[in-house]
Amino acid sequence: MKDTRQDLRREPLYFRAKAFFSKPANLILLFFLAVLAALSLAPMVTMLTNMFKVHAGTERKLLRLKVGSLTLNHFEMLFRDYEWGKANFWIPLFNSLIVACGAGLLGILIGGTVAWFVTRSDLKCKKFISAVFVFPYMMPAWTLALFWTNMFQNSKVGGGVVGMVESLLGVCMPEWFVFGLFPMIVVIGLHYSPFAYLLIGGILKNMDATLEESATILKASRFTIIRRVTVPIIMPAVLSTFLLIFSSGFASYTVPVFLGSATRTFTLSTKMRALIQAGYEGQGYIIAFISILLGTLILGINQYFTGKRKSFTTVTGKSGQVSLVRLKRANWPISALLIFLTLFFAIMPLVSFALESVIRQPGNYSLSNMTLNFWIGTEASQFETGMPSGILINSTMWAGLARQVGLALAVSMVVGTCGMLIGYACVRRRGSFLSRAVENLAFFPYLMPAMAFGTIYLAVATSGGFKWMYGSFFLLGLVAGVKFLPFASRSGVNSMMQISPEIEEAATIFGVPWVTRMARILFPIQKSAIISGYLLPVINVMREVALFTLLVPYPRYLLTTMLFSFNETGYSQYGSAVTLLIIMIIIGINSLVNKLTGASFDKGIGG
Amino acid sequence: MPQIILEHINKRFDKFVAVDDLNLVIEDRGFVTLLGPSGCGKTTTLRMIAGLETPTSGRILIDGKPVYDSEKGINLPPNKRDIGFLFQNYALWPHMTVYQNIAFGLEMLKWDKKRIQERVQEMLKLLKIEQFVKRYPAELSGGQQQRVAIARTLAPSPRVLFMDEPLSNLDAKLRGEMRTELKRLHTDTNSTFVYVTHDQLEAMTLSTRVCLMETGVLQQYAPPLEIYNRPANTFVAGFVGNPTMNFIPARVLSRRQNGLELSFLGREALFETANAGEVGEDAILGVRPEFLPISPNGALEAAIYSTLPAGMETTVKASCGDTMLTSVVFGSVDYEVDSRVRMDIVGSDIMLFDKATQKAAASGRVVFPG
Amino acid sequence: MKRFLALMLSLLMVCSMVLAASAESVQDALEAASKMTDEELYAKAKEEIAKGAQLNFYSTTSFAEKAAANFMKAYPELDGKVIYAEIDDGETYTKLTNQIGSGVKDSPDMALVQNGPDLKVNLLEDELSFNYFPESLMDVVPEKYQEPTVVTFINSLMIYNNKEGSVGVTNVWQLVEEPWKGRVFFKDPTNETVNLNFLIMLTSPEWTEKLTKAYEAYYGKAWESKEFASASYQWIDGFLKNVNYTFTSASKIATGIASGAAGNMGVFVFSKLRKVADEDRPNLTVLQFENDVDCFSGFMYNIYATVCSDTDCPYTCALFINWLLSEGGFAGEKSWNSSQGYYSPNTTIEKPEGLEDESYMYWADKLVFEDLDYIDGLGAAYADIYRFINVRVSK
Repeated sequence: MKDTRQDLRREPLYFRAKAFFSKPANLILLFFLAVLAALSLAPMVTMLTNMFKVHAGTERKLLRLKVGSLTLNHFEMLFRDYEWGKANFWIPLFNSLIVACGAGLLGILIGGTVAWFVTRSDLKCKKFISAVFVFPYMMPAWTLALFWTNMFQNSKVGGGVVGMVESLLGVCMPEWFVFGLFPMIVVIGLHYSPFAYLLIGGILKNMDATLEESATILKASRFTIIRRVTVPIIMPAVLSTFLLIFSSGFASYTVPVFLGSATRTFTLSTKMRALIQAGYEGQGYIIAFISILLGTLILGINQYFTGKRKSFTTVTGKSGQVSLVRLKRANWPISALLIFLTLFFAIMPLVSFALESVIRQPGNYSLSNMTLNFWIGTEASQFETGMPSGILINSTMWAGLARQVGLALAVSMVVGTCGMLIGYACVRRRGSFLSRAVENLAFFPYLMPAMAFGTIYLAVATSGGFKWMYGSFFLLGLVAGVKFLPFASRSGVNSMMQISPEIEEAATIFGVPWVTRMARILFPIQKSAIISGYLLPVINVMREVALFTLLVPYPRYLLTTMLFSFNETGYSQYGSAVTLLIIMIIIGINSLVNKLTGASFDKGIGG
Repeated sequence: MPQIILEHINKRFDKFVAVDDLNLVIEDRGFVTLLGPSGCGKTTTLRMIAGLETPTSGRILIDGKPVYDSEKGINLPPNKRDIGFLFQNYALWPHMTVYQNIAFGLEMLKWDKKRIQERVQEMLKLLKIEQFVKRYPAELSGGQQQRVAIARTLAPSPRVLFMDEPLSNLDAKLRGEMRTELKRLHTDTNSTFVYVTHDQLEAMTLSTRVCLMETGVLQQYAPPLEIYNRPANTFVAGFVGNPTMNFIPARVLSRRQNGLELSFLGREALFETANAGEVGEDAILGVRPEFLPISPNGALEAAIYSTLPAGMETTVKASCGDTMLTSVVFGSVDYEVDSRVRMDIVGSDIMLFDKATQKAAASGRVVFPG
Repeated sequence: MKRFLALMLSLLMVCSMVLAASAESVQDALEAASKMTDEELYAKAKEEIAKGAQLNFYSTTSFAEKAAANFMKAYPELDGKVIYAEIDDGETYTKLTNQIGSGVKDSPDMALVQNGPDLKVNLLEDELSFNYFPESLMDVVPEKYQEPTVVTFINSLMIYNNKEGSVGVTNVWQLVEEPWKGRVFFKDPTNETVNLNFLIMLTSPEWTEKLTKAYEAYYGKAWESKEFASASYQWIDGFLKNVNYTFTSASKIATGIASGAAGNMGVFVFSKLRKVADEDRPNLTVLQFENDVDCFSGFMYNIYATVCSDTDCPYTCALFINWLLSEGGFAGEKSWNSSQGYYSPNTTIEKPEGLEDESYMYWADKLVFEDLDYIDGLGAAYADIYRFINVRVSK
């Protein structure tokens, strides 16, 4: 008998190449390998060289060297000058780690608990809780930070401005509660808890109930089952959720800006921005690079754990009727508590932003102090309030909104499609070097802090042959596209994993061309998951700030950058109005798409 | 001694009735099979006895003690019912080794380490899986997983063991082997087995009593041979037995002292019986294929439709008028298609069903005149 | 391949020549422009606009937009051709150095920037931008504000919440004392260069002497320290220890102090008082208007005009700068002079009555002025001072 493998090896190169290129999956992988390498590795190289270069501004002033000349000074300052390094690197690093860890744990704790109650118990008002619980994830994270300070600032801390809690209840929270690491952990943890909720909830929902039932029959108590069976089984998912939140928290910029400025609590990303802003770009890039290294390390840890032999990312099984845990008398108190919490963190911010946007003078909530001027007023003077008129009748606002929505849609079309193609190709060629390379490259931008990403692309767009991009809509789209590809490709891979190759092969046998197979078979089957993959970038772009601040031609170019500058410069009413508008638009888009197609952004995450 | 009693058990999911007024007594040390097609309520019944599912109304007693009583509001959780449960997909915990899986239940009983170790070794030996002790479930084959699951279930020596289609995920050969093992285990462990299956052969071969259900209603609860020979209705008759029983439409012409005068397949014959129950003018004659031999002097004439030799026996299908008849012949024979043969109805286990109620009216023998 | 290389090389040469040529001509044009009358410049500007140019300019002060609008009213043929874009202090030099000479679309033709030392080092010294000052105004603008050209001064003052009466600050050394801990509001100097420059200015010999004297006056003993190089460093150290950074912008400091706790004080841009709600405005007192402070009650910084080296409309820029330095530009409708806290270097322009403000001359001996020559002349010592401040800002 002939060894067919031997035969294959002896085949002329030509035939092997032909066979290779006749598979669309291979072509897609090659294409994305090239594009992604250029788009995510090129900035990386730019960043690396920038760590050794003299930049304009302070560096130029301090070093008295020509811009662009090579230097090791950035490293020396950051790592050899103890006092400087401590203030500008070590303490921020420590803070970042604390915030990231705390947020990860809190997010998992809250999201996981709610997920367990919703999927595994006879909790009341499940529908409401699960619908509203995901709101904080749709809001820009810093709006929650803003909400936190609006709520808890008081006459004893910071500037002594009275917040809602003090004016309504007369309670003064201590400083550590209002500013610094604690609220950062709470806000970031809350922001990402829906993420944990969706991922863990998805696994709990799919997890075979008999795994728990068999423990029940072996006389394990409810608590023992959770501890010894449920938790270990969902552990790999929990761990990777933790690591995702960890790296998001680590890279978070806007939240530490809002909650840390008052107490000078820097994290690595705010420090990076501060250093770049103060003209120490080289050191800023070094910090960015270290952040990326840490991110890669975390990704490595994640892969190590999910790759172990006792792990099982997909726990499937014919789960019979899941019997829900009866909470009995605890049902109402727990339901009430969860409803209160979701209301507080999901609905209250909306109410508070609505309120803040109609009061003339901050801190005074009496009816006489209210006005719709910031929404529809015409008499506001630009120099006193920052805008020539209320936001709803203001052309700058509408232009910014139109650009933001346009950007979101454009990015979503491109990224969603790329994500789906990458998902398809990676799943079909699973295990091959190409597939792994593309999947990892597509995930790589996730590790880059948005702030660093923006800075690097600014450097790219003002050098070499890329100048035509500078300040353009295209550049914003490109940066957002690369930055948000990780989510889309993840969701693409997840949705394609669910389709067995036979389904496509059945069509291949009939001679159906690839494009038709994709459009008529694969897409319809995973319609809602794929549309969710398109929806995710929309939401991401709609709420992104840090990525765009450096790249917009002027702060009011986009709605979010406009908003951020409102909040930074103190036009809080406009800021609140625009925030409310953005959140409403995101929720609106999500529920519209959900109504029309059954897709929803949370499905994109859950896979 | 654990005797399980179900009284007027009902289970509804919203409007769908899963189990309808079920009464059942499972004797101590019995091996009872809950048999029926998919969706007949057998798994739900098992889960209700185990306490994994709550009935809508009724009463369940295990060992004389009510574990569920809708009127008194009693509902013991599964862990208080002293039972074992073997799941269809084994439900092995993927994050624990074979050893840890088996030891888990014993740890819950607060056994000391040494005793646990001994018991696990004993179980490993009993099920011949000693060599896999350190492996994770994902590293075992289906049959090995099955054995681990059984070991885990048996380790705490439950007095009642529930099994939900435990063999359905195995291939035919393994299934056969495991059947033998299970029957042996039943004797060795000296406990009550309640077993869910949709495979009538499994039910017939394993159990001491079969409980046959359809759409939530109990059809018959009897020892396997009684189910086979004296089915309570056409459903039971048709569900049990392979090839299926022949159902021959018949008309009751008159009642006699020793039976009924019938007309079927264009022939008239006497259905000799001592226990004729209620039957209308329209009836159905139920004849097992083995009671319909092909014989040169047979009373019925039929044309061969197809022949399916299987080595030990041959299934012959032949049409008699508009009715297709199935016969099982010992040995390997081959008939030419469309050739004409004669068939006979023999034996005293021929069933007569009332067509309107589909219920069994009598059992007896068919005597053709002359 | 060779031909391609040759082509690329020659293209490169042509490009650099064009760049060099245009740089030369901008400088020449500005030189010529400085000797022209406004009418002549207007004629030249119209020519430039006719060629398709438009004047894009960055500004860190938003009043410039109004000044530009007034400018286009005064020179109607330039209508719609002067485009304002706001820019954050922090990104000014990153953006400008990247954009000038890059040939990117709509890159700026000129900019109104703060932080003179950065302007000098990053733009002027590298000839990325040029200075322009008209000869016609040489007599009315003090010489040191001609190179680089200052278009407006802005002051940051000590202003406090008076709900519980006066804070009674008469000597700056009071501010480094324990009672002021967390009650002085100031923008992060590592984020806001003008605030940084204010602190750096304190290390100059002039201010070191003044601070030493104020120390002696306050504590009644001669200054002495092993820890600090001078009284200035000691004051900076003590001041930064007390600073509260809750509010991240001047507007927020203004409104925050006005509606916040009694006795809080901020050092923030005077003109931001316009952001404070009418009801809260009476809560604020400008310390200087209450009593003199030994030895300063705030600081003054400059906004400079600079013309980008790759502009295609140098004459229009020149005309615009003339306008900004004139009564029409500085004191036009809703322009700088209509607000507190802006002062023209043109000595003929006075603050209008009824503004609750004083003239530039009034502030001259009460505030710490940004001195470009001192800061720029620090050389390597700049790094040490910066480091001293930076490590005291971070926690």
